[in-house]
Amino acid sequence: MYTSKAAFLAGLIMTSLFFNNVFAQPVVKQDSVITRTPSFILYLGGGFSSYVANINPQPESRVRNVSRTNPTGTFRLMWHPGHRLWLGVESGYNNFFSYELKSNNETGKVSLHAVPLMVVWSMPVIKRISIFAGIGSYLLTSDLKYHGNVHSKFFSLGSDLAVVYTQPVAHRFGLAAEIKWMNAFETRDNALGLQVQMVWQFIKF
Amino acid sequence: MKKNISIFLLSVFLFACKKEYKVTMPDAGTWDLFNDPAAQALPAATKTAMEGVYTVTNASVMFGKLAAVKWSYVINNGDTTFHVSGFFGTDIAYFICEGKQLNGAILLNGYWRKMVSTETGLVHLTIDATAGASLLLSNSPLVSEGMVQMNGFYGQGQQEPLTPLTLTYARKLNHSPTPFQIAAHRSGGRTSDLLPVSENSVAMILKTSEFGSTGIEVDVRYTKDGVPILYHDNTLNLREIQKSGLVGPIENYTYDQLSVFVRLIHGEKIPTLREALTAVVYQTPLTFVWLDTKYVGSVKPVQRLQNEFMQKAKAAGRKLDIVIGLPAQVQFDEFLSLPDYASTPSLCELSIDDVAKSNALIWAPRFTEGTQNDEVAKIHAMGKKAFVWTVDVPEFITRFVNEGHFDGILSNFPSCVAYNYYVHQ
Repeated sequence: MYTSKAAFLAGLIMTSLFFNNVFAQPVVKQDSVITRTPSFILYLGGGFSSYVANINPQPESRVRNVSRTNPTGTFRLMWHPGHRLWLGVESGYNNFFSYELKSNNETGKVSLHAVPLMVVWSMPVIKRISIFAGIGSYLLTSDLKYHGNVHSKFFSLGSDLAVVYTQPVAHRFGLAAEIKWMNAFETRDNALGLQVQMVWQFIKF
Repeated sequence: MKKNISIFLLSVFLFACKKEYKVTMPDAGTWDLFNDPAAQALPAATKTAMEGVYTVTNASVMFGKLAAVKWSYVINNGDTTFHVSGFFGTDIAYFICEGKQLNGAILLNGYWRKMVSTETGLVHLTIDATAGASLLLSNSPLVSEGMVQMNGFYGQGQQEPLTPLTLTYARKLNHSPTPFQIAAHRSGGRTSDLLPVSENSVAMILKTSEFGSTGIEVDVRYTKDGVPILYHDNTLNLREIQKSGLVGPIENYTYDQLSVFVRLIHGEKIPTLREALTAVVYQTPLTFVWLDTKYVGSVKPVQRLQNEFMQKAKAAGRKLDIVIGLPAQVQFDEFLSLPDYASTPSLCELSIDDVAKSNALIWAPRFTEGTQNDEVAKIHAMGKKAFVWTVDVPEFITRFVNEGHFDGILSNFPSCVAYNYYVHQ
C-alpha cells in the first residue's frame, strides 16, 4: 500500500514537472509586487477552515459539540522560473473537525488534524489573482481522549486547490487572501479554508 | 489554449469521482397472503424433503437452467428462523425466502439478488397442494423428479413480483462421501459486495448460512490491550468503518475505545473473537471456523478461545472445527513455539512439508496454483484435508468443484460454490 502511494506521488511529481516544461510560456507582465522574474516566493498565513464532508460518528444520539470550523495555516514555497507556471511545495496545518461522545456517563473527545504535504503548481490567471493546485498527501492525526490518550497517524492521498489574490504592500512583500479547497480523498475529508497570507519574494535572480 | 487544457486536466484530476453503487434490499413483508394470520410454520421433514436440485423454467435466461434449493437456520434470542435459499448458475444469483403453509399450500416469500450487479427484487413462490405441497406436508415425504413444482413470480426492486418463475424438482442435492466445506470469506462476504451487513461482523456470521456457507473464515487482530477482535485491514479506513475521525492502525486503540467510537459500515460494533465464536456455536449451523491470523504476536489468547469454544460446541452437541490459520512464516514460527502446537487444530497455507511439521489438519494453497490433484492426494494420504482460497470467479469455482479434489473452498461468493457443489453429478 505504501509502495503504491510512493509510486503515485513520484508519478505526480514527474507529471507536474512535465507540464511545467511543456506549457511554459514567456514572462507575462503583471501588476503585482511579485514580478515574474525568476525568484523564490514564500507564502505564510493562517485563517479558518470549514469541514464540509459528512461526519458519521455513532451512535448519533450520544454525539455532541461537533466542531467543523477550526483554525488553519499554510506554508508554501514557490519557485517562479520566469514563465507562467510556477512550482513549489506546501505544508501547513488544518484541524478538520472534533466532537465529543458520551458513553456510560463519561465523555470522550475525538479530533482529526491534517498536515498537508503537497507538490504545488501555480499560474496567474488575471491581474493579481493566481490559482494554486497541489497534489500529495495529508498526514492525518487522530487525537482521542477516552480512557487514555491516543495519537494515531495515517497518510491519506489528497489534493488542494486555491485561488489567491495578492496585494503589493512593500518592496518584495505582499498580503494575500486565499480561498482553498482541501481534499484528502483517500479518507474522504474535505474542507474549505479562508486565509490571510504574507507573501515574501525572498530570493530574486 | 494550453492554459485552458492544463486547467481542464487539473480539474478532471482533482474532481474526478467514482460512482457509488448501492443495493437497496427490498422489503419482503408486503405479501398479504404470506402475512395471513392462519399461515403456519413448515414442519422440519417438509423442509428437508424440499431440498434438492430444481430445473428453472420461465426465467432460465435470468437465472440459469438449474437451482440448488437448501434450508438454513439462525437462532436469535431463543427463536429459530428458517430460510430457504435457491442458488442459481447465472450471475451468482440467489433467492432467500421464508416459508409457511396456508390452506394446504406452501408459500415462499423473500428476495433475489445477483452478486455481479446491484439487481435485486422480491420473490413470491407457491407450491400448491397438487404441485407437491400435499406430499411435502405429509408425515414422511419422499420426493422424486417432477413431484414438486414451485410456481410464482419475481420482480425488480420493491415492485410487485409479476415475472413468472417456475422451479421443478429434479434430483437430490449432491453430497460427497466426505464432508465438503463451503467456507465464506470474512465471515460471509466482503462489504464491497454490497451485502446488507458488514464483513467480519456478528450480523454477517448470522446471515452467511443463507448464502450457502457451511463454514467461515474470519480475520483476527489484537487491540492495544490484547483483545482478539475481527477486522481485516491493518488500518481503520472507510472501506470497513463509518467515518469517526479515528485513523491509523487498529492496534493503536483499546477495545473499549473501538467499542465506543467505531462502527462498521453497516453500523455494527467491531466484534471480539469471543462474541463471534459465541454466535457461531449458539446461533448458527456452521461447522467450521478458520481464524485467519492477521496479527504478529502470541497465538496463546486465540488458542485459549479456540479450546474454550470447541469444548462449548461439543457440550452443545454441535460438530464444530475451529482452526488457527498459519498464512506466513512468521505466524508459522510463532505457532510452533506453542508447547502443545501439535495438538492444536491449525490450517497451514505454506508447503506440504510445513503441514507435516506443524501437524496442521488442513493444507490451504492459493487458487492460483490450480487444482494440484497430486498434492491434494498426498495430503489425503497423510490423513489431512485440503482447502483452496480465495476463489471468486464463477468459472474457477466450477473448475475446482468439478475437476479438483479439495475438501473445501473459501470464497466471497459461497452461494456460487454452493450452486456448483450441490448440482455437481
